[in-house]
Amino acid sequence: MTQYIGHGRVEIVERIKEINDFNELKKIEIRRQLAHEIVSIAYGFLSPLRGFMNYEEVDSVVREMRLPNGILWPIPLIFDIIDREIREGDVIGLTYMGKPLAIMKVDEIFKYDKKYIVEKVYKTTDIKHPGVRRTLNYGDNFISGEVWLVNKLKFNEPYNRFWLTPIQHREVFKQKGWKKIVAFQTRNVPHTGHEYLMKYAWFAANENLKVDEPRTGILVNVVIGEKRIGDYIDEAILLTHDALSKYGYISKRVHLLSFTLWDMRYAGPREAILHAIIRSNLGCTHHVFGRDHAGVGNYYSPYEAHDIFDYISEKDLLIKPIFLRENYYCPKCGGIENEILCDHKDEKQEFSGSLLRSIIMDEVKPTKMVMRPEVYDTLMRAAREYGLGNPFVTEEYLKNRRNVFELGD
Amino acid sequence: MKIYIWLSEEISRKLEELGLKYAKEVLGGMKRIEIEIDDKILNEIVKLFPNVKVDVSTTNSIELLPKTFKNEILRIIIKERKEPREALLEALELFKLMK
Repeated sequence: MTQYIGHGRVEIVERIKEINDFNELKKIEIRRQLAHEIVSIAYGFLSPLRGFMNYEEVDSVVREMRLPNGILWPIPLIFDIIDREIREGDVIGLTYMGKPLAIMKVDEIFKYDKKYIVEKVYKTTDIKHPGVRRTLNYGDNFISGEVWLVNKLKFNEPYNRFWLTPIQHREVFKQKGWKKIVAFQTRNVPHTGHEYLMKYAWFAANENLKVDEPRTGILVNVVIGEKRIGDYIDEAILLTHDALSKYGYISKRVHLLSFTLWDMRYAGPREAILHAIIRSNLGCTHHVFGRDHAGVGNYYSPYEAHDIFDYISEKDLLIKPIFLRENYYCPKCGGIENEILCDHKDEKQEFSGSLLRSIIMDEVKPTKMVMRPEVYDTLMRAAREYGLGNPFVTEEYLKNRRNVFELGD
Repeated sequence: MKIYIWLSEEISRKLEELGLKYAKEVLGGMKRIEIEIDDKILNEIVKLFPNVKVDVSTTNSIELLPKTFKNEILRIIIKERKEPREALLEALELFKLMK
């Protein structure tokens, strides 16, 4: 059997078990964030993690950005509990949406200073930062231990069309004959600025490979997780990226779309490292980092997620970063440019999120230099089908949205 | 504070044909009409459309104005050849009556 080596040069091993005595275990119903993290651990997205971190691991990650064994890891993965009846050494059943999801062997129950975590990981203690708020809202007790998935996931439409495990990613790459794969992280509907970022990244990743046939691919890996009011709905993000290749704006021969279950922490530079780790587990060789990668508000400088790689040795990662500047439309050049490649920065027309949003809210079809017509049509179709008429997340959507996946009984 | 009305290619063309030069190109051929408003009009708009979002931090504009209201402003500009601000005031009066 083929061995797939992931982050830290550790083999990717799926942690899936069939068990008959789940009902006899002490059970805890867990929230969506933890369920998604368990799925990501079990399939190897977060390899070499095999479960939730103990005190020593959390402390090492928070202070040094490394696991105690020296492997680079930027964000602690912690399981907070309220239940006081759990004991060290217990094997517990974890249920999600009332159904069995996983089992966990509890190694340690501990406390850790949450304020210290946020200072180090987010470089701020401001409660307005969504990652800070999330961390400070955790319960005060944490449990650590390995987890195993014990149930089959049945992904709903349209997620089922794009779900691939890390091992399946690698098998698809092999079938496509790709030697190099550049990962593109997104939680946005693509405008032409994004499309050109992907195309520039393809050239950068292709390096010295011949171009008689495609040997390099672009993996668009959408982060599916917690949504905030005003974000694009997840279904629209997936379907519009699919439309880019379906209608030939990026050839299917070099394009693959999938997703990772992860709640963005908006930890800027530290989260950029985590994205690199996840995509290296998927088998990618390169990763695009644009402006303000995984940032929020003004907590990080626009290219801080680039600068952190100055402090990371190449041997710590199996993936190479590709740094790109923000694109804009240059009316003088008549195309998508950036400040490194064109000197007309005084005339630049920027693709700001709020600007695109206001165009879409006015239900005006953008010009094809801003958003491809089929992408816009797909967006509006997704809004009708999944967003209760709105391509953006609303309170109503949050209440009524279809689950990403269902679990068997 | 401003109101932005994005224009479809068809409306942009129509305004051009009529010699009405109110459209400003903002991004890749996308044009919009920008109408400056004072606090008095802002308050009237918020009263009439309580779901609008007054965005002072990023766009300095009123977001989520109903499409029907923006369309009425465009209709008045094109049919009655009124300036955008005048058209806004007229549309506002009309919507107040309809309420």
